[in-house]
Amino acid sequence: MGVLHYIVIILGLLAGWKVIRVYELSEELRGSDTEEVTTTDNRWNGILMLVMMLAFLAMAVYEVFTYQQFLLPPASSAHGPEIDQLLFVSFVIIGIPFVACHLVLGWFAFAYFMKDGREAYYISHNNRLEFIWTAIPTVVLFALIFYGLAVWDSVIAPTQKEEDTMVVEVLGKQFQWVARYPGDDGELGGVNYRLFEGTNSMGLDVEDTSAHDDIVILGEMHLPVNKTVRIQFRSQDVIHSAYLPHFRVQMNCVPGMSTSFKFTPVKTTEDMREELSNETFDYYLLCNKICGAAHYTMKMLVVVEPEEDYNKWLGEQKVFYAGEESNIAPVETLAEAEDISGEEESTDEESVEAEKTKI
Amino acid sequence: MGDHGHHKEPFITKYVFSQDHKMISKQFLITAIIMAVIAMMMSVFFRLQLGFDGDKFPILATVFGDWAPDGVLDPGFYLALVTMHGTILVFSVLTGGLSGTFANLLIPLQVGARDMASGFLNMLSYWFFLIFNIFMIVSLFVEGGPASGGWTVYPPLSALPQAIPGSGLGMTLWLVGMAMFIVSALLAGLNYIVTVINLRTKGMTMFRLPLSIWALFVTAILGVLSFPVLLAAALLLIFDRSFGTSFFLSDIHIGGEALNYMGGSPILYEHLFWFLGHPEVYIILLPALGIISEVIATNARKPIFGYRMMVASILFIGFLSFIVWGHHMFITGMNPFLGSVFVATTLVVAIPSAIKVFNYLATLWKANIRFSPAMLFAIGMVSLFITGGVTGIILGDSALDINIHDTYFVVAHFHIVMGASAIFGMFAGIYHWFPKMYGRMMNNKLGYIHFWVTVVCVYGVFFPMHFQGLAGMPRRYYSNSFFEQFSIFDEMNVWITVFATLSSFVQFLFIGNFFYSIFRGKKAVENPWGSNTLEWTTPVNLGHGNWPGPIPEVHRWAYDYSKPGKKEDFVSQNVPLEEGELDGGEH
Repeated sequence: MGVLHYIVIILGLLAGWKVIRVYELSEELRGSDTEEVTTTDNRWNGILMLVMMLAFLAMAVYEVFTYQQFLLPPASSAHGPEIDQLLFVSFVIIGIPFVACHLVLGWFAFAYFMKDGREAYYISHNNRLEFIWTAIPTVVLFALIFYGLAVWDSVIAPTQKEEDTMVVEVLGKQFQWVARYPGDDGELGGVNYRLFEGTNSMGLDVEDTSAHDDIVILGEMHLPVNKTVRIQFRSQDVIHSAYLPHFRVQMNCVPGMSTSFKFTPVKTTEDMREELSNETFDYYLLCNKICGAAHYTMKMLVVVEPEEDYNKWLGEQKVFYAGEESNIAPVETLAEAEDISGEEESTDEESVEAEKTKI
Repeated sequence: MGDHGHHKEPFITKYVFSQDHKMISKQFLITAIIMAVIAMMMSVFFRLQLGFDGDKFPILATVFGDWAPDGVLDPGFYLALVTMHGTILVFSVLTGGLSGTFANLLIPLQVGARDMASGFLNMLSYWFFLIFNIFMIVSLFVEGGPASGGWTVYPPLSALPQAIPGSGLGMTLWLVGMAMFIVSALLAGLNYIVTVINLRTKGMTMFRLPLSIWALFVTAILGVLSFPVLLAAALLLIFDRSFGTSFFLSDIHIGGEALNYMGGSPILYEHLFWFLGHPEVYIILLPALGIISEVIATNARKPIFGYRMMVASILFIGFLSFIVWGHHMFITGMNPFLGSVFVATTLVVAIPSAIKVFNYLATLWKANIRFSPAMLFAIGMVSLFITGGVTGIILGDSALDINIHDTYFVVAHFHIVMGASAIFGMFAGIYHWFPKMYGRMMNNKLGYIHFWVTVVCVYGVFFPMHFQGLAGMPRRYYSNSFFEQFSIFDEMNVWITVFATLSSFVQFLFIGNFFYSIFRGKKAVENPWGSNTLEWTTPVNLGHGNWPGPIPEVHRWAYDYSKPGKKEDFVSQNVPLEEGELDGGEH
C-alpha cells in the first residue's frame, strides 16, 4: 500500500470527524439536543420497532415459501423420512414461540413507549405466571427429547440384520474420496496406513489374501437400491466428514479409527432425475469438515441403481490385486500369496509390530 | 482506603500500567474495538469471495498481496481469514472484550467496592490479554499465514504443517497466544469471583445484586472451571506438534509420507476443546444478558420481572453448560448412545433460556419505555436471542444434527445467538455506561442510525443462511462452484455479501461516535438514565477509589423503578427503606 493510501485513509477519518462536528453544531443551532432522548425519539423508535418485528416476520414467512424449492428434496433413504418428519415437527414447535415472542416484543415496544403522563406498572414477579411459562416449555421439550431420541435410536441402530447388510468402505484423503468393495469373498482385506503409496490408494495390505479381490474405486461409489449398506469410514490424513445430504447421512472420517453409518437407499439416481425433472441430477458425497485448502473440491459421485445394474457395474471393475502384472508390486504371485503359510504371516505381522514398537 | 484521586498520578501508571479497574475496563474495550474492526474487515473480504466467486477485487490484492493474486483470494488464505475471524471475535472481542470491559467496570462499582480485590492481578490480566492479541496480529504476517484450521483448530489439520500452510508458525503463535489468553481469563475470573464474594458493601446481599453482577459472577466461575481444560488441550497439541508425542494423532499418511504417530485420537482433542467450547458460549452470552437486564429495567422504568427466576436461570444455564459439550460431536464417531445423553441435557437448556425471554417480555409489559440507543440494542438482543435460540433446539437434536451439522444452518444459528446477540448486548452496555466511563454522552441520533441499519443487516446476512444449511450447503467452502446443486444460492450469496458489507461500514459510524464523544461529547450528569444501581451514585469524573466519601450502604434491591408512592420513578439502592416499606426483591 502506497503512501497515498494512508493519506487518503487519514483524510477520510478527519473528514468523518468534521462531519460529526458540523452535524452536532447544526443540531445545537436548531436547538435540539442530540444527547437527550426526546418524546419524538421514543414515539418513532417504538413505531419502528413494531414495524421491524412485523417486517421481519413477514420476511421470514416470505423466505420460507420462496426458498422451499431450494431445500433438499424428500429423503432418498429408508430412515430419511423419520428425520424429515422430526425436522418438520421441530420447526412447528419452535415457530410458535418465535412468531409469538416477536409479535409481543414489537407490540410492547410500540404500546409502551415513554411519553408524558404514562407511568410504568410496578410489578416484581408473579409466581403463577412464572410457573406456567416454566412448565409449558418443560413439557414440550421433554416430549421433543423423547421423540428425538426415538428417531436417533432407529437411525443409528437400525434393526436390519447384519448378514443382510452389504459393506462398503469409504476413505477420505486430501482431497479425494476412495471407495472399496469387498469383492467375491465378501470380506474387506487388511490395511495398514504405512502402505498408502502409488496406486495403493486404500493402504491395502497385500499380505492379507482377503484384500486381493477387493475393488478400489476413486471418486465414485455405486449402491444398489433397497439394499442396506454399512459404509465404513476411514481417513488417511486429517479429519474429513462424509456427508450425503440426500440420504440424511453424515459421519466423520477420523484418522486412526473406523466409523460407520448403516442406511438403505430407496431411490435410484434415475428416480430422482424423474422426481426433480432434472436430467443432470446426481447424488454426491461431500466433505463437510474443514480439511485443507481444497476442502471445497472434495466430492464423490454416488450412483444408486437397480441391483442388476449394480452387479454388472461391479463385475466390470478390476480387483485390487490380480497377480504379478499388477503394478502394486508385491513379490509373490497370487498363487504364491494363497500358499503363504500361517507361520510366515505371523512373522510378517510380528515385523510390523516390531516396527510399531520401534516407533 | 487511602486518599484517592487527589494526588496527580504519572501518565504511565494512570493510563498504561493502571491498576484502576475503570482504566483497565477502558483498555479492554478499546483493544476489543480494534480487534473487532480487524475481524469484521476479514469477514467482508471473505464474503466478497463467497458472494462474487472468482471475481477480481483489486482491493484484496492491495491488502493481502500474494494471498490474493490478481485480487482473487487464495483458497488456503480464505480458510485463514475464516479461522482468524472466528478466533478474534470469540476470544478477543466477546470473551476478553465483553467480560473484561464490563466485569471490570461494573463489579466494583455495582457491588460498592473501591476497586477489584487485586488491582495487580487485574492489570496482569489485561497485559496477558494484550499479548494474546499481539500474537494474533503477528501471526497474520508470518510465513504460511495465520492458523487456518477453523477456530476450533482440530488436529490433525492443525497439528501438521503438511496439512495446510497455516499449521506452521501461525498455528504455534495461535496456541501460545491462546495459553496467554487463558492465563488472562483465569487471573481475571478469580479476581471477579473474589471481589463479588468479599467486597460487597454493607447491605449488598447476594439477592440484592443487580443481574449484571450475577451474570458476570457466574461467567467468571464458568471461565475458571473450563479454561484450564482448553489450556490442557493447547499444551498437548503443542507437544504433538513440536515434541513428537501422539496425544491426538494416529495412523497418518500425508504428503506422501507415513508419520510415526500411534495410538492418539483427535476425538480426545474434540472432547477437551468442547468442554471449554460449550461453556464458552455462555461465557459470551451471560454477560450480554446481564447487561441487557440492567438496560431493559432502567429504560423500561420498571423492575425486572421475576428477579429470582432470572438468577436461578443464570445458575441453571451455567450448570448445564458443563454437560452439553457432546452436542458438537454427535457424528464424530463418539458413541451414539453417549450422544443421547447430550441431546437431553442440551434441549433442557431451552427451559431457562425461555424463562429469561418471557421475563424480559414481561418487563416490557405496561412499561414506560425510553428508547435510548442502549435500549434499542437490548431489545434487538432479545429478538436475536429468540431467533437464534430456537434453532438450537433443532441443532441439539442428534437425529437432526446428522444432516445439518457443519452446514450454513449452524453458521446462521451461532452467529445470531451468540455472535450478533452478544455484540448487541455489548453495544447496549457501551451506549448505556459510556457516561460512567468517560463522563460524557454519546450522540443518540447516530446511535439510532447505527442500531437500525445494523439490525436490518444482521437479519439480512444470517437469516437466509438457514435455508442454505437446510439445502445441505457446507460451511467453510471457499467456493460452491464444484457442486451444481448450490448454484441456486448464487443470488442469495450476493445479497448476504451486500448486507455484510453495509453493516460493516455502519459500524464506523459507531466508532466515530465513540471516539468523538470521548473528547467532544456533551458533559454527562451524575445519573443520566435515572438508574438505581450504585455506579450512578459516584461523581461524574470518578477517581481511583470511586466514591470520594464513604462507600454507600445498600438498603434495597436494584429494581425499584416507578415504585408507587415515590417522588421519582427510581430509587437508588442506597436510599433507606421507609418505615413499613418492603424491599421489592423480597416479598
